[in-house]
Amino acid sequence: MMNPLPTRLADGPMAVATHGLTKRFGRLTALDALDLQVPEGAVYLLIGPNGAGKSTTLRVLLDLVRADAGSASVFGLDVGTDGPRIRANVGYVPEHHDWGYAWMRAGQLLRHHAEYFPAWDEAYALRLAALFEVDLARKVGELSKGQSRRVHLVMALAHRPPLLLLDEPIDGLDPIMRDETLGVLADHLSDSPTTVLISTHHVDEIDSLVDHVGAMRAGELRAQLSLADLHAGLRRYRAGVPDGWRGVPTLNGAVLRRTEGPREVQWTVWGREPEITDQLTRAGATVRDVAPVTLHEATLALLNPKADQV
Amino acid sequence: MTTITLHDTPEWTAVLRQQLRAVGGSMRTAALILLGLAVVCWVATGLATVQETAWAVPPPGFAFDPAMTFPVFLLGMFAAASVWQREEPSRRGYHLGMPMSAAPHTAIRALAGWAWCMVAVAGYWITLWTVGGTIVLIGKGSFQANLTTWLFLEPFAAATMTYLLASIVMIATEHPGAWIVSVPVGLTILFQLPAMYHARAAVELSRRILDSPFSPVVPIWAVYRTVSADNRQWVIHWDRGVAGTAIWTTIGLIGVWLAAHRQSHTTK
Amino acid sequence: MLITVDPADPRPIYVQIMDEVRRALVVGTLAADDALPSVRQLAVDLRVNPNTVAQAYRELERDGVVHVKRGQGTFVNDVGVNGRQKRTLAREVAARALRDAHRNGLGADELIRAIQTAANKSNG
Repeated sequence: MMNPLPTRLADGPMAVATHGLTKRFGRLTALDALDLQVPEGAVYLLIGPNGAGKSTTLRVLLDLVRADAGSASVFGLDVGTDGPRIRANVGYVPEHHDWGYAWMRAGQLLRHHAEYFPAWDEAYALRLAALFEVDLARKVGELSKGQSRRVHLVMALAHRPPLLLLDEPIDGLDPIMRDETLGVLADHLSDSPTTVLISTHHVDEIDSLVDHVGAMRAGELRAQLSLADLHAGLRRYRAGVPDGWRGVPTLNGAVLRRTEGPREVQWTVWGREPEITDQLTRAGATVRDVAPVTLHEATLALLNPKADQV
Repeated sequence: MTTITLHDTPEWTAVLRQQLRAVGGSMRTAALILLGLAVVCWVATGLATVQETAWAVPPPGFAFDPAMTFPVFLLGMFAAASVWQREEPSRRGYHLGMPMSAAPHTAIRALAGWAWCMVAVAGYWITLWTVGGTIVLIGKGSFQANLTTWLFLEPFAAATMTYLLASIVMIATEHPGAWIVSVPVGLTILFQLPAMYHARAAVELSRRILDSPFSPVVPIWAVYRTVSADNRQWVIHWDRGVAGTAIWTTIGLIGVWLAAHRQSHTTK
Repeated sequence: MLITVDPADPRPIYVQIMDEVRRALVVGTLAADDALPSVRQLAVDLRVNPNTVAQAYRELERDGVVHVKRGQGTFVNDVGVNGRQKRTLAREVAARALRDAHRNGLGADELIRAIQTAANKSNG
């Protein structure tokens, strides 16, 4: 049996750590004994289908939602008892767009927000607002989805918090603004030591910033690993197979995706390359190509609900 | 523990200052409407007095009647509704997401709303006296105040109590409108029932409650008056008003704190 | 200096950055004692994690291609670099070509013959 997908990172200082975190909404289990680990300084991408529990996780970390079981800590502070102190050190961009007061003008909302965060950098806030082309005079309630998203980004970044919790931060932004946001994040990371936990479906655009990945399904992590480990351990194998090919049972569980053609098969497999090539060859396949996968393809593989057989 | 230097939470004074600004800002439209009403009231009374002066004997004057403070309870209710408008518990994420414990933060916001509510009550007082003054000025009649300390403070007390009770509903419930309508209606029916069914003991009990400091009328109008023996004067029972205010204000404060505590997390 | 990275490229991003620097040296866009863009500047331009850029610069320093002057930046090392970089790049292009050939069912000999033919055609 090949290595199952890794779900625990190496020990080290963690910006975020949850143990057995469980949350139910009525009969729906949103989080199921979640063990999330986000190392300090990491840019951690949380991926998963809608309803996987990603947004709920972020809200539990902020003590906006109270878990039913398990624990969560941010920078060593317990989420249940030190909520305010944690929130003072987090920049949060929420998934839904009603954040702030609809009747306030954007500039007023920023000033209001600034009063709650003693570490607020006014000059930086203005620079960000200009970069994001925020109309400070417009009422928040009249902003489009993309415009309010940009205001939320300013609110989250301007006090240079040690932790950024970003829930679909570039959703609703046009391509130019999405690109601009990535540049702002790269710049922000260069300035202040920041840990970023970002949940987004726009994997392709964010992958150059990311160094850790967590794949979440039905409230738990199917895989949690560094990007380096992911690139090293996940490969796409393309091989010619003879007629009547029946597969390699020993690889079951390690194969995440499989595409078939006449006498040729393509698998995305987790494991060490020489061993897998060896197993495939011994089972009668002619391995023609072994290639690393892009983060987007890795996402699809890690989240594939069907445990494919080779 | 981490080696990173963590940022501090804000001082509660800064939060109160900001909440005063924010809540005041959110009430601006309501304030302008009230101001407009006051101006209309003043102008209308002035015009009416001018007309009346032409043919009234004795000339129109102004005599303060404790009943004039009755509408103040509405200011308390609308202030509470205004502070939490469009922020039902399910939509209070931003407020709860601030780096302050939910209960004190909610309490500070309620405090800020109360401060503005008192400003509105002061505005009501000013309107009343300027209207009265205008009538006297135009009509050249007499000006009777008969204002005791309690009668002066009573509108502030009534608005405070209504504000607190309405705040409990606004903070704790998802559909406050339903409560604000059904509670007064329900109480009215409840207190009318004994009379409707000629249940003498119950009528007696309900009358006793209504006359006591625990009367649900106190938050609306903390002025209890009876007619004097010679049917000439109003007799103000200030003790029921003051005791009732103390009781209902305490209920309101405890209720607000409990509600703030209960609504410390979002539901989704 | 123009650097581009392609997330779809199988090479890790820091390797791509290193290769781009080597390419610039071989092609002549970068010369000895030239300054590389700051880690921050390159990270922002490429929309890449600054740690990745830092890693690329560190590896380049380890390979003797660049050196870091504290507080001033990263600079290209002196002569002798060019030839080595050419050989490194050639090795990597060859490895990529061989992998591509293998995927298409071609052996190394077939590939070499095809390259020779193509080179003759473009020369002649």
